[in-house]
Amino acid sequence: MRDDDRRPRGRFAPEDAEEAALRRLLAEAGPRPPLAEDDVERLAAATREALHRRAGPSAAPAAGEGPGAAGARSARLPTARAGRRWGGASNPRRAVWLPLAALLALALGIGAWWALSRGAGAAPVARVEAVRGTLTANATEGDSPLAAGAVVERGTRLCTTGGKSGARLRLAGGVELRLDGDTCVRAEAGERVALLRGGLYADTGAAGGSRGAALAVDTPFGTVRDVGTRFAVRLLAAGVAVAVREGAVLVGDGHRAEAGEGLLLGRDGTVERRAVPPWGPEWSWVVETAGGFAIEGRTLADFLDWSVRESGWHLRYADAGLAAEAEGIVLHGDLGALRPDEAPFVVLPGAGLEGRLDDGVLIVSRPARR
Amino acid sequence: MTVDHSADLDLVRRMLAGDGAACDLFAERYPRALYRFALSRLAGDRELASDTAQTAMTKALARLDTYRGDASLLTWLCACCRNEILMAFRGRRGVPAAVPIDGDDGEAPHDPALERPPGQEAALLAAERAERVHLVLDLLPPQQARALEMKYLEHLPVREIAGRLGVTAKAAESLLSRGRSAFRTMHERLANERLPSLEACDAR
Repeated sequence: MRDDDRRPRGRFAPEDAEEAALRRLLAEAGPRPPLAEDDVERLAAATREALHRRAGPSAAPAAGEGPGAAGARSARLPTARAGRRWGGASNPRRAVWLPLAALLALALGIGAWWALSRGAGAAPVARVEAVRGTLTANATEGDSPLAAGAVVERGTRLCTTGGKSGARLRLAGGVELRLDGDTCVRAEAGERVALLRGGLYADTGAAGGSRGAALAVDTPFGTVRDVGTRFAVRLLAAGVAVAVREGAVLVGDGHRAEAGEGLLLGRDGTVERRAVPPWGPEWSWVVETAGGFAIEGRTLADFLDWSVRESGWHLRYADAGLAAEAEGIVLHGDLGALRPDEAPFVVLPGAGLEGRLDDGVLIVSRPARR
Repeated sequence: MTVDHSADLDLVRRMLAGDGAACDLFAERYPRALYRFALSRLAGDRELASDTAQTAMTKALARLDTYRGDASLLTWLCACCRNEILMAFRGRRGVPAAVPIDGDDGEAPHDPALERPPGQEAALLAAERAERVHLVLDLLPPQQARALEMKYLEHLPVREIAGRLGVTAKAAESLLSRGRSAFRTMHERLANERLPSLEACDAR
């Protein structure tokens, strides 16, 4: 069944007065002159930084822009104050200096966690990696706020409160789970959660997780099962909406959604599909809850891989030589509070390169001569 | 004619209250429009436009609590940017002067090249209308703006618009419908006001 313009076809199909006026306005104005997207992105990054500063001292500042290059094969960013991006326990630079005793305690804690997770009863099934805003655990003994590092037991209901809240968890099965604001899940097992309200994002291939780790998300409208993938699930009044960034998921009675697809499983069992690009505003909250990336000593290629993975972009180098060079450029500094989709436009100029975003593709090139 | 800027006031109030979604929306849309405004007045000088737009944005956000809704938020931001442009002119003699958006700028640098011979007035008004359309498109959600351009400038059918945007035809129709409505509202607001005075955004 063709789903096209509802009006009669043809060059002289009638249109109403409003459309005619709009057409005249746009025709008279002509196309928008293209802008240098890296300039726009820089201004957008500066805008976000200014908004963070307005928010108060609890917001970690961005690393700034326009870094100077420290040499042909290294790029240095201005070191930011207090390197935490948001509410997270992980500050990669600070982690290096943990005392040995603390490291041993951490190792023992993880070992105990794994040992316990194999048993039945109130066994730990997840660990909180980062919290923004408020995350509470609704266990049998009542509500309690959770911070990064907390261990979540089987059967615990976790809720983020407020639209600005978010959390990142690591399930015992290795899957990374991110919770949007105003979201509640129940941790059923190391590889199973129930989505009670709001939306979650799952990455079964994130660092520390095993490729192909399974995850099942129970919803009132059916279970979403991953097939080694990254995807988001959101409960709506009309049903459950799934969007797949990578891999595939099975929803309900075997409805399959692949990367770049969205699927709405309605209350009445109907299925609606739509295209969902792996990047863009739909994934903004997911990008916001991503973990940080310690660039000190890492290559530009590694950094760009992280950035495009978290942003849902593809990466393209303007020439083959650049791709090889990126493997040899070593970065220094700290990204601070820069998001994965902001950081390239700060880091690349420091490496003497430019980045431009074109329809979901990050194009890395050498600067044009003026 | 009194123009309603309650939507902009609401956005600013939410930003001041720390609403992340409001801040995200602002950061997604307004930088592009402000940069375009600066670039058009600085003869395409990217570096200067970037610097002045960034300074203007930073100062404006530091004084966001002074926005009263007397003009649209974009107009208010453009007024701040115009101050920065004027300061840039004073610091860089010889840079070609640009034409202010409303042509009524007591502090614009005097340049004989700006005096308009008869007949050029119509061209300038057309350029002003074009810029207004482009700024409004910059402020729309990007997919809505692209959908409008594809339909009314490139004359593409809905099915092709849907394919290029990666959405269903139904979603494309919805984008066009919402885009038309949002464009009409924003364009009417901008077309019925003048930029505030140059003193509106002086830094303390």
